[in-house]
Amino acid sequence: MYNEQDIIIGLRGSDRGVMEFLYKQYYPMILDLIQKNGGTSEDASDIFQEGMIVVYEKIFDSAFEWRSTIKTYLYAVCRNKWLMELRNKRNRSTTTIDDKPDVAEDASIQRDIIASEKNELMRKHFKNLGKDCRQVLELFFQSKSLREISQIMNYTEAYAKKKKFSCQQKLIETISLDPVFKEFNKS
Amino acid sequence: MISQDDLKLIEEYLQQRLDLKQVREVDKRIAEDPEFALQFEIIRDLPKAINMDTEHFRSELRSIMQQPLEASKQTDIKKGKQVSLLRLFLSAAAVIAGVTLAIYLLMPAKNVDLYAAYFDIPRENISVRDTDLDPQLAEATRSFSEKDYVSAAESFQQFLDENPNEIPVLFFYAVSLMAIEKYDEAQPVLTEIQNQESVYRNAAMWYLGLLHLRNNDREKAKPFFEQLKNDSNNYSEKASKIWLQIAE
Repeated sequence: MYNEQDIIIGLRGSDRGVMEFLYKQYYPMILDLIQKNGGTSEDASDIFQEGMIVVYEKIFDSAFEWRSTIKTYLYAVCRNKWLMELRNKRNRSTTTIDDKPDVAEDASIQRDIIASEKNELMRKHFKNLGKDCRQVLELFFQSKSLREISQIMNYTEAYAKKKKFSCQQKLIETISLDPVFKEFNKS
Repeated sequence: MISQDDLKLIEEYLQQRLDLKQVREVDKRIAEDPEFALQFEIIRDLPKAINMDTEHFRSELRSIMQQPLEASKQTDIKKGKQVSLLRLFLSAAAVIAGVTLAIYLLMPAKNVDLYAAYFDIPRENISVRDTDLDPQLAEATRSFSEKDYVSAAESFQQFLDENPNEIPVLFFYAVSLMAIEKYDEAQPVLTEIQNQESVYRNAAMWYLGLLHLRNNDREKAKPFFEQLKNDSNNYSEKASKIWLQIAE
């Protein structure tokens, strides 16, 4: 049995015991929600995984204050995520789902879901860069200076600066042209 | 395509290095120029997205979710009454084990015994880009999974010769070295990981503490366990237990 603090600390470190606990405790609740609202167990599995990723990303957000339990937040994320999926599938805006009446549709939760999906897209495009570009940007994102980057990569400082810029430029371009990313920004 | 000037401007805005007039200009462009606003958002959010190790988290979760949750739950319900005596026995055994453990914990322990009790090999969970494409790393992880730590250490080292900054690989290389008792070689690798910000930092400290216990140097081990027990991390609980036995 873990308390809320244990869960947050455990999730930050991808602790297997904590993840197993969350799966055993909360997956049946999500399975029930999805199956009662037109989904299959495979849908429930996908929604639970994506919901857990949103929770995982959220616990690293130092500005975020937990106003609910992890259980309530996970449930709200999965519920909103499924609602968004249903709307996409049915292409209509009046979709509702039957569940606990006290869990309202929440714009902030939907923003968290979209932010998580945007992050996933950015990671996808990052992986498609060349190896040197990935290394240079990883170092830059770890707050390494151009001087440190040039030393680690065995570049001159001027070349490190040029390389960093061209890699960033390419990455920003591919992300901003991604139609899915554009779609997120419309909503 | 973003210009070098705009990129610099946005980075300096995010680093709070612009004066008030420049900040207002950037805010105005964000409000009025959708393309600039989109570029701003990407530059702002990229570091967090890339620094987060969701790949490892996701693969752990997938492997957990392969367990037959429903089937095992139903079996538990059916067997509920039959196992009650067994549960009673197990509860009694657990109490005895707990008391034994408590007595053991209160006894002064030898450094090497502590090392033996706490050193274990973590599951390999390397998520290096292009892992699938690099035969050296694939060979290393295969050997590691098969508990062939001699071969794993050799292959990790060869991979690191070409890719010296891959922290996950450095970590499993160090663990492989410890598994084959090459503590002197493992120590600088773990220290290198400890000196960098990554999700492996606490793990490196944990193994450094154990390594010093193995080398029978309790004084060098202490700071690692002390820090781990005082911070909130995966090793706090275990570090606290060791601390009880090594602190004077």
